[in-house]
Amino acid sequence: MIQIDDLTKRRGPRTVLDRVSFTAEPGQVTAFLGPNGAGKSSTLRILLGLDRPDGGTARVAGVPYRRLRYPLRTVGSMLDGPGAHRSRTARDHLRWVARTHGIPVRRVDEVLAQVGLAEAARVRVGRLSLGTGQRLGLAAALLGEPEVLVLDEPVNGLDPDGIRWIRDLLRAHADAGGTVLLSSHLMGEVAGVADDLVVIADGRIVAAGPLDRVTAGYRSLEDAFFALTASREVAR
Amino acid sequence: MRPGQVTAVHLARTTAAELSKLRTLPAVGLTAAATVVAGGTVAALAASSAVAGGASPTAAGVVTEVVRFVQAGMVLVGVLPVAHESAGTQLRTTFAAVPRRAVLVAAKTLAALVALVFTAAGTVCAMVGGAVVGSAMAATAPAWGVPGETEPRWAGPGAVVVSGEDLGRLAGAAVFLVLVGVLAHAVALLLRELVPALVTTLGLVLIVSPLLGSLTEHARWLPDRAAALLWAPADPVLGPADGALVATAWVLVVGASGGIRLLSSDAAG
Repeated sequence: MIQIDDLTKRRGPRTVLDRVSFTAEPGQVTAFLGPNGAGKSSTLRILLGLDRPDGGTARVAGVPYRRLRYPLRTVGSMLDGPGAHRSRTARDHLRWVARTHGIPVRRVDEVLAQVGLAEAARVRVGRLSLGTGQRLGLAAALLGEPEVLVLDEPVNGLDPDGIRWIRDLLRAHADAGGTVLLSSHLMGEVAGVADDLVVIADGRIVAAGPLDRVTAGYRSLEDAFFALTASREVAR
Repeated sequence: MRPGQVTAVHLARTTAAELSKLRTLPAVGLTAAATVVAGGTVAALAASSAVAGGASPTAAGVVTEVVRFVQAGMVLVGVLPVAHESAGTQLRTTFAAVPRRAVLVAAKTLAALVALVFTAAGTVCAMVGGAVVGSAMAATAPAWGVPGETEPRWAGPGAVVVSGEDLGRLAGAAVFLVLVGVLAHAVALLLRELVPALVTTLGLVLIVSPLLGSLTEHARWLPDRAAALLWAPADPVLGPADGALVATAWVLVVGASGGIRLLSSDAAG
């Protein structure tokens, strides 16, 4: 369960998040949609304790992320790219992450196999392709067997097989009772997997709710997205 | 478990993770190895030329003569644990895995300290070895080219066996190197990025400090000069222990500022 309440973030004179509120429920895949620069990553960075908000709260499993002593057992996250140093191998990267939580080393090989990186375990991160780097980021997210997954643009750089694979993985995670929040600026990516939608434009939530309710009255998800985000642009 | 034990376990795990990062980052091992090799080589050359010149240097004498030459290696080993995080996007993985940043700063400092102590001890040992080997080689070779000598001669007995007093100065040289490295670590906590942290610390120990040292006696209060009192000839104002305290105070002030910046700021990357 993810609860975002009245989140505000300013950078200099610009308000990048303006009283953003929404929830992501267990058992559901929640898609967090918006054009580039709308505030998706800023929201997720605050949710993950990387940045501080100027107002409001973001809670995972009822507490702010920074209160969690061993957060990876509750929340697995991936922002764009592998989040790893280029001169370390994929396995060595996951091993240090595992050590922070006292996670046994064998779990590292399990997740490497799970994301299809068993062969690339000894390859240095700098030599991984964009898509393979994304898989490594996902492996780190899965390491602590968390209830909540937070993924920023997870299909960037993945081939069609990879996109289908990640959708199946997220669907299975939600069906098993987990919470999934994934951000995207592309509609087609989430159409087949999302249960709930949260649409953000220009730092404000413009629509939120079950997929069918948010898209009611539009021909497609894409039409809904453009209409919702465009009305915001016009209102500006 | 009591709250104290919970925190202790957390710190131990985070420190183990930080040590694992250092072990698997090629730049750290290479820098440490290069520092040890450079120390041994420079000491061998210095001892050899001293013996060839007719002197009988002690191992501690050679080490204190050349110890400044390996400061750059210690600075790099000190800077890398923090600075490598900012090369790319690893820092956010670190913050996501350890959101309690006070624990993170403590663990990083402990891990850096372990790397620095090993490197400094290895370097001083290599210097002693270099001094012994260099002087022995010079002693058994004809000393050609010594001014005033027309015939080759066998030079003096070479570096002497280390005495108790020497051990104190050798330990002082090792602690000096650790302090220089820890200062670099503190600067890296404050500046985070590799290049600014390197430029600042190397600029201080290699340029500002020698320059001010030749201009004013107050230069003794600079961190590297104060730490050097652990092995250098006596200073009229500060003793060796005072020097170590002054250097430690610098490290604490710079490190605390860096720690506060890390605790309060947004994560880059």
